[in-house]
Amino acid sequence: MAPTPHQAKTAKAKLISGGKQPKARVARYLKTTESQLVEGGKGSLLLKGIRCSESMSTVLKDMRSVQAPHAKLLSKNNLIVPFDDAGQQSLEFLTTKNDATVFAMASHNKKRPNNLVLGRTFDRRVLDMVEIGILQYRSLSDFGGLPKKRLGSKPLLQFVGDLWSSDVNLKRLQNLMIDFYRGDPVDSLVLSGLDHVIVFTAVEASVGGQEAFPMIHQRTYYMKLKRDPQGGVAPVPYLTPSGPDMDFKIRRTQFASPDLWKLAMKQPQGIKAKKKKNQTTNVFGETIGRLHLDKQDIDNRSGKKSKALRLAEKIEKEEENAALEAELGQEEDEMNQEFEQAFGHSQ
Amino acid sequence: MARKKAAAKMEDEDASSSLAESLESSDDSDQSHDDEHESSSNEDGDEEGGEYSDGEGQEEITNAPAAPTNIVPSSGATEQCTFDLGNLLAHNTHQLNPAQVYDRKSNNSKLDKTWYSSTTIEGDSRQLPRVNEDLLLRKAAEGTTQLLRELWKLPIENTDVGPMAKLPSVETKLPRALPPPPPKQMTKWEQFARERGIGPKSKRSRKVFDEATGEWKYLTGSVENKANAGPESWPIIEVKKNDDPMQDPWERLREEKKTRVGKNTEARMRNAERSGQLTKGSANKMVKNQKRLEKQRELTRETERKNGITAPAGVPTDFGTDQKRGKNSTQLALKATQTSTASLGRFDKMLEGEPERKKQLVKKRKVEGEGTNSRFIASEAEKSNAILSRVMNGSKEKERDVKRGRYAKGETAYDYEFNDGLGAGSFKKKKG
Repeated sequence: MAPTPHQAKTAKAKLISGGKQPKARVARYLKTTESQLVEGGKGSLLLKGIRCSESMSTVLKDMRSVQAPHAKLLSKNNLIVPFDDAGQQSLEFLTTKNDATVFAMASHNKKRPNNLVLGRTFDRRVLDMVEIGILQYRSLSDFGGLPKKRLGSKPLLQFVGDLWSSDVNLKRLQNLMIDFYRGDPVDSLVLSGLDHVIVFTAVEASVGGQEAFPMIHQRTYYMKLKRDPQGGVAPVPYLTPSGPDMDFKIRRTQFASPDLWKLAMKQPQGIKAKKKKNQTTNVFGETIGRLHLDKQDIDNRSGKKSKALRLAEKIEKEEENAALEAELGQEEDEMNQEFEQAFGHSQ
Repeated sequence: MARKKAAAKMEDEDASSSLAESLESSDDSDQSHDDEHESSSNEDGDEEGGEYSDGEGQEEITNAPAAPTNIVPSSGATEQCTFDLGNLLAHNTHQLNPAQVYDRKSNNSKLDKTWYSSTTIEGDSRQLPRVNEDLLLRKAAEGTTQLLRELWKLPIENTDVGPMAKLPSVETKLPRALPPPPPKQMTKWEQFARERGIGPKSKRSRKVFDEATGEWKYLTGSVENKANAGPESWPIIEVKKNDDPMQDPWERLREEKKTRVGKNTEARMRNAERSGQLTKGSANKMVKNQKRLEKQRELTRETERKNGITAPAGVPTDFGTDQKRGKNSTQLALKATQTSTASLGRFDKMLEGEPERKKQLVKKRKVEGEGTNSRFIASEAEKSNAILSRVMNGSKEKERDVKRGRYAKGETAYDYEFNDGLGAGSFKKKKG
């Protein structure tokens, strides 16, 4: 339940101006919802549109299975028209609240049967949206008893066909698909744990003499690694179809403006590995460094007093006190003497 | 069961060498597959939420004497792919002939049906031409083989989880979910420390040994839990040279703490304003607000002093031996008793040394509507019922006050059941 930007701001303001701190667990969660230097896996939100058929619900369920544990499936129908401002606001709100960056909305009506809107957000605003029409779909349950991928395992992705690089829409779609399916971005991986491949094939299809349009075939295969019979180091994959398999075409698109895209692609400076400019290696292989210091502000510097000075001050003080004491003592003696003189006996 | 059978069947296929038992051709394999599917399609298919049959869960590299047909030998005319290993991605950018993909004449009418038992969304032949699944699988196998070869070339480090391959950085850049965090602005103190070369404080431990009690207590917190709690916890505070001997030193300490806390909050807010976390001007707003509230409090104190402190309805008078009433409470008690007669103390004799009685005004209670208004009667009834329930069932406020010690702790007749011998049974109704 990530807070909306406005909520986050007011909460922070309250905290700074002397409010009560949230519980540690809550504070830790809120930290993950703030912007971070290196981002983890993207959460995805799967929802239904105004009207959704049972098969489209199956599509979403399978997506959730494939993308688990990052995916969240909402069960109720939503009155959202995605290519509309109000609809996009709703989508932005829902994705923020469910900690999702990527979303898929399924719907079914006569004009657009078996419709799926895939999209992603940046900075809690919609970045890209692609509406695809599913022409054929085989779900996980259609591939009944066959082995399927493990929960949460990373897929091997493959894009087949030259259309992916030539068609503008498909280029962006490719980017979106990678975002959808790649899982957690990791630095290192146990390679023996790879167990499935997702292949996207783009072909120019023309049906019944109509205009040719790009058709995309998405196939998922369960992969078993087998020793290479020709004796290579790498194993050889044995693929079996495992579903979900989807054949679709693009209906409508709304891609980000170049400015927004540029903003979204901007990486923080902390990530890039900086070259160490002040280190050199000399002939003997020793690493030598140079320290570059700022200009020292001599006038305003505050220093620590030297030990001798402090000691001198101490001694001075003590002497003063001693002198004072001596004087007081003297005065007292004098007064006693006066008293004795006056009254003939001591106090 | 059927899944295990399926997995076992896979193994058998691998183990057996002949091509005939591979995917493409023989009726035997088709039949065996059909058998599997007939039995498995009756089962509940995989539901969402992840009941996955993993063949074996882990890699099982068994020695296959001959390669099954969906694996292409590396020396053949395969299409070279480009890779993005950071994303485990392979691009096969060679031209794809639609005729090949939508080959109507391909002899795999059985092949399609062997793997799946049904189709959730059926392809309409008017919109979707029939797809050559075998071609797609072959292309996938080619690409995957190449990709795996590349992946196995990566440097491997042995960790406790197993041998992990170090993936290179990602080539296909993907957009971020949120913009990168803005660089943190230095607070005023941090700037000053940087100029003067003052280093950060060394780490402090959370618990400190408290000499007074001989326990380990926290560094900060309430007076009881704090180690080496300062003068606020001492029963005696010496009057130093420059102090006013008439001022309450504990009150002075409390006021000092209040000003310190206020200063800290203000400084925090100003730092936040400078870094943009807070809207500009909120610190000034808060300061102004505090000043206004302080003024109001002064005003009420003045009016109270002038008009005399009004006593609350029930002033506690029964205290235990260890608790004293205190000066304020005594004054209030006196005030309450002065006006606790039917005439509100107007015609009672004044005692010697009694302070002047301030006239207590009678508050006229407003009656909503007329006395016989049904709505008024109903609301009165409601109010009475509420009072009754509060008395009988207890209310939150009462519990809170009991906890805070504002209720009598001494023994009263209501504290325990006292049997005075006059039970219901011993009561005899007198006749007549």
